[in-house]
Amino acid sequence: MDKKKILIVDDDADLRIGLNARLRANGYDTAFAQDGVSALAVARNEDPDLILLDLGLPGGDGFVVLKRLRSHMSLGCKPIIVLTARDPESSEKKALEGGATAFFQKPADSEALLGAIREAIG
Amino acid sequence: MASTLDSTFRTVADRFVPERLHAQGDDAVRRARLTLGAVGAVLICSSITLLWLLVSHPERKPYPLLALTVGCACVPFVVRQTGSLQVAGHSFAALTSITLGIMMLRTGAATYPPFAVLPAVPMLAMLIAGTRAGVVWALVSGAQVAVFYALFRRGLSPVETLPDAFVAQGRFIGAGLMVVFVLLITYCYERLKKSALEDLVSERRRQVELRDRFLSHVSHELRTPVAAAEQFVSLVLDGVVGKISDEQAGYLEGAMRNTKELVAMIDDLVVVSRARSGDIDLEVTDLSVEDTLQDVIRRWDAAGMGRGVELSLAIEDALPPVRAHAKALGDVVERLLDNALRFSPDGGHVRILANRSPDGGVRIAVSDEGPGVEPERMESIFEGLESGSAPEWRSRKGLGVGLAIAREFVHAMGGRIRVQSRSGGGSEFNFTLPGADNATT
Repeated sequence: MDKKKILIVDDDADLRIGLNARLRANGYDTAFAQDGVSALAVARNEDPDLILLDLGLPGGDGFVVLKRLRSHMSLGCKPIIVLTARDPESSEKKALEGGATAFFQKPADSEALLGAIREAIG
Repeated sequence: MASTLDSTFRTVADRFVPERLHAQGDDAVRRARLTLGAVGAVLICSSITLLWLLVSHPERKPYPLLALTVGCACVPFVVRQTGSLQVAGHSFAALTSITLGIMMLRTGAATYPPFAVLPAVPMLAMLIAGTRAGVVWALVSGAQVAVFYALFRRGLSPVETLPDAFVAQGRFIGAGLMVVFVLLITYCYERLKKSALEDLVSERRRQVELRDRFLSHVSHELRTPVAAAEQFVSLVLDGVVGKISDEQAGYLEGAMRNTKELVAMIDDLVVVSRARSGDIDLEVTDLSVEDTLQDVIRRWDAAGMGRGVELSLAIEDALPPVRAHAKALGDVVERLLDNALRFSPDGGHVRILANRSPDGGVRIAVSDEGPGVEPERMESIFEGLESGSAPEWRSRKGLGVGLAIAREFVHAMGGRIRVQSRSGGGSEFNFTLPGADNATT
C-alpha cells in the first residue's frame, strides 16, 4: 500500500527537520514548503494526503494560506492541521472556522499530534 | 541678556507648573509656560494700570480692568492646583464674567461693550493649550468682538440697538447676558472634560492593544525554538533514531522537564502581564467543584507531580454548584498545590478541602505542613516578586508570580483568596467562589 504523504508548511528549518524524522518514523512520506506562496505550488505538485500548516509564515498571513488551500479545487478536501506557536485564545476558533481540521499549539505533544493525523488519514 | 531673561521667566513660570504636567511631556509644559507667561504679563500690566488709576483718578471706576486682574490672578494658582490649562481658562472666564456681572448690576448695561473683549483671553489660553474647543471659542469670541467693534465704529452701543423698552432694564439684561455666558462656558467646559476623558480612554486602549500585540509576539517567538528543542529531545527519547540507554533517557527526560517549565513560564508571563492591568476577562459558567478538583488530581497524578508528598482530597457532601471558569479554577488549585509541594517536607501531607461557604458559595482550601507564612507577609505573598519579598522566595525556580496569578483569577471569578496559619504548623491557602444562584453582579 502506498505511504500517505504529509506536506509540512513551516518557515522554521529545525521544526521541519524534527517533524520529518517523527513522521517518517511513523510510516509517512513527507514534503516541505517554507512560505505561503510555495505552499500552494508544492501542494499542487506533491498532492499530499494531509497538510501541517504553521500560521506564522513569511510574506503572508497563515490564515490566508489556509483559505487558499481550502478553496483550491483538488486540495480543498484534504485535512489541514494547524500547528502554530500562536496563542489558541486568539487563533484556534479562527483556524477551525477557516477550515482547519485540528489546532495544535507548539510545542505540541507528539502523541496527540500523531493521533490527530492517524484519525484524519490513517 | 536674553538668555537670563528666558531662564528667569522659566524659573518663575515653573513654580506654577505642577508635576503632573511634566509627566504629560515637554509639549504640555511649553504650552503651560507660554500661557502663564501671557497671563502673567497681562496681570502685571493691568495691576499697574489699576493702581495708577486708583491713585490718579479715584473717581473713575475701572471695573473691566478690575475683572481682568482678578481673572488673571487666579490662573497661575488654578494651573498649579489642577495641572490643567483648560480648567484655568474656564476659571478665568467664570471669574471675570461674574465680576463683570456684579458690576453691571451696579452700573448698568452701558458698560457692556468693553467687557465683551475680556472673555477672549481664556479662549486664547485654551487655544494655546491646544484643544479644538479653544479654536471654536476663539472664533466665537473673535466674532463677538468684531460685531461690537463694528457697532462701536458706527457710534452705537449694543444698548442703543436694543428697543427702548429694554434700555430701561439695561442692567438686568446685561447681568442676564453674563449669566448666560457663564452657563455657556460651563457647558463647553463639560464637553471639554468629556472629550479629554474619551481621549484618555482611547489612549489607554491603544496602549493595551500595543502591549497585547507585543506579548503575543514575545510568547510566539519564545515558543518556537522551545518547540524545536522539545521535538529533537523527544525524537531521541522515544527511540525514533536509535536505542538509548536508561542513563541517556534519564538526562533527556531532564531536558524535557526543563523545556516544559520554560513553556509554563512563557504562559505565565503573558497571563501575569494581562492580570497586572486588570485585563483578565473570564466567561463564567455554573460548574461542579468536585468535578474540577478530581480533574486536577488526575492531571497531577498523571504528570507524576506530588511525589514524596501525601495528597488527600476531602469534599463536603452535596456541594452547591459555583459560578466559575473551569480552566481558571483548575489553574488556581494547581498553583496552590504547586506552592504546597514546594514547601512541604518529604512525606508531608497536603490536603485539599472543599466546603460550603456561609454565603451559599464554596470555599476551597489547600493546606501543607511546611514552614508556614509570617503574619506580616500574608498580604504581600500574593503580590509576586516585585513586592521585594524575602530572598528564599527568589531562590525558588520560576517567575514567582504563581500566587499573584491565582489571586487575579479568583478575583476575576468574584471570589476572595487568603492565607492562614495552621494550628499544627504550616499554612492553609483558601479561596471562595460565588454560588451559581446568587453570584454578585
